Amino acid sequence: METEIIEKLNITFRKVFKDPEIKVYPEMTANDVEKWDSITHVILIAEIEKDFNIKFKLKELIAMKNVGDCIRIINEKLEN
Amino acid sequence: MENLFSSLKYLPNQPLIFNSVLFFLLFTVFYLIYITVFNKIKARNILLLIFSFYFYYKVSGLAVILLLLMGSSDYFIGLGIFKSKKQSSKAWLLLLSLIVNLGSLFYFKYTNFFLNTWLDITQPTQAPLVLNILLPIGISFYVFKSLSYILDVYREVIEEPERNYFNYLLYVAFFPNILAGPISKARDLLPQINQKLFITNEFIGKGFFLIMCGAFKKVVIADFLAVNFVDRVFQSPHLFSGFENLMASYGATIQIYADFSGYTDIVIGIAFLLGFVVDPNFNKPFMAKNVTDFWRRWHITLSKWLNEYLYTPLSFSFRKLRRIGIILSLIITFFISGFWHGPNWTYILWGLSHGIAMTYDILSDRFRDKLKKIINIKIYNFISIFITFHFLSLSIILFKSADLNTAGVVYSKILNNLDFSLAKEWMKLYSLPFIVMIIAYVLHYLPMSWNNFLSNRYIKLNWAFKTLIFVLAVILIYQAYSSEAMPFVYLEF
Repeated sequence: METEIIEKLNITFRKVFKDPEIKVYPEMTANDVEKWDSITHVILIAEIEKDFNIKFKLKELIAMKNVGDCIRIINEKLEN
Repeated sequence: MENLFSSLKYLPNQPLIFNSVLFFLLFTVFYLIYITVFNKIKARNILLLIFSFYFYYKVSGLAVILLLLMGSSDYFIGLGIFKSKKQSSKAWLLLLSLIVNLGSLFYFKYTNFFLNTWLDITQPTQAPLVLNILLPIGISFYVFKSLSYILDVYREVIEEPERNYFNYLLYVAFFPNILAGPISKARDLLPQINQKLFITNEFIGKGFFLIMCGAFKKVVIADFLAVNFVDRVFQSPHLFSGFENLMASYGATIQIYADFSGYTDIVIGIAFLLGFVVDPNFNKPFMAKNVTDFWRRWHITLSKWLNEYLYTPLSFSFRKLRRIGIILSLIITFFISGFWHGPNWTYILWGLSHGIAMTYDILSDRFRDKLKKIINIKIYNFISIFITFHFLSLSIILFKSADLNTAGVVYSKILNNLDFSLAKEWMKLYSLPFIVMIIAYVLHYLPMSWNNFLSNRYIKLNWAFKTLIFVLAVILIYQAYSSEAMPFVYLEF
């Protein structure tokens, strides 16, 4: 399941950051992507919601410290 | 003796400020006691709490009671939110804290503004009405400090609330940063209050070094420029040429920076002497390549606060609108940021101008990326810094002007009456302010490594030299005062 989420996240990240080379990994943070700031972050979250057909809560957004947290939360939502 | 006692009481016209001799004397006495007890957490915190409340009383008089009530209320609300099982009870308690904090801030800071705006609309011929409401100094800062704790407890970013009442009061009233920040978050400062601290040789060195830098920025740059040039122009801009108004806007830019960053250096320096680490507020702001970058370098603790507690929830709720949602959130955030600085349309427009500039940053993102590929990156960066700096200098006219009319006169003078042939004469007439301005900008643009080199050399000196240099520097800096100590600009907020 995690690999599938990562594969799908790669597509979303490439679309948002307009970088076809980007590859996500669990330890990845905003510091690892040049264009990832508080402005692109919101677009990224909205695109993930659309691509995975899920809805985040503000609390979940705050708790996300890296891509690994994001994968875990997506996983939980897809299982429920 | 009677004189001594009366100077220890609250004197409305002489609030205690860091750059006054009285503060220096009081702090020395306090510090001598502090270093004997700082190893014992409880005794250290009680001493800090007593000094912090006395300091605030000396600055703001009876507003110290308001500080005590607001601090106490958030202490109990924080515990209440943590202990409540139901989400709805937590939300009600959060709402109560917001009403207490923002209600007090609105009452003391904005009542006259709203009253007169209402009167302007309903009865335009009536003279302005001014209710005698004294603004408790620092309220804008300690309200934000306390709210960061409540919001973090509510959002479970802080997992354990502060259980010690006095430690929470100390967090809110911590004297180094109660008046004008940096706005420390509870999750950064409370753990330090609860643990044993070490005043190392490095801390003392850093503390002394920062206090010297801060005093230099405040006295030699900010106050000198304000008294001898900038304030004169902004008090009656119609009496000065367009060129002088332009120079005054460059002067105001570095003056406000030197004033506020000098203040912050002193605060961080004092905190170091006490064994505490307080977040920095500035990082070479005029090196910013765009306005978004500027807000990562200027008043950093405020922009982080607004980003975390206002912009993020707003943009999250508007996320379906994508870019439009982000722009809407930015404009609202910067409108509130401007209004937070003061109940005046000048601040609101200043905030909005920055919100609009950041909107431009978002909309021009792709265009700028393309431009970077065509133009040499060094030239691109230089042009970006130059344009951003000029936006900042022109927008600071709104920040510095007492009202919109004054700002209008400064802008119209710069636009319609700009004659560069006056430059030579101006430099002769205002040679000293001109030299100070140049020095100030050169110092700001020097690489950070130079500053670190000097700081490290100072830290490594032995005790006697360190103290001698500190005392000599402070005496020399204060020789530059032409009049009595001037209050810091950000104390008005």
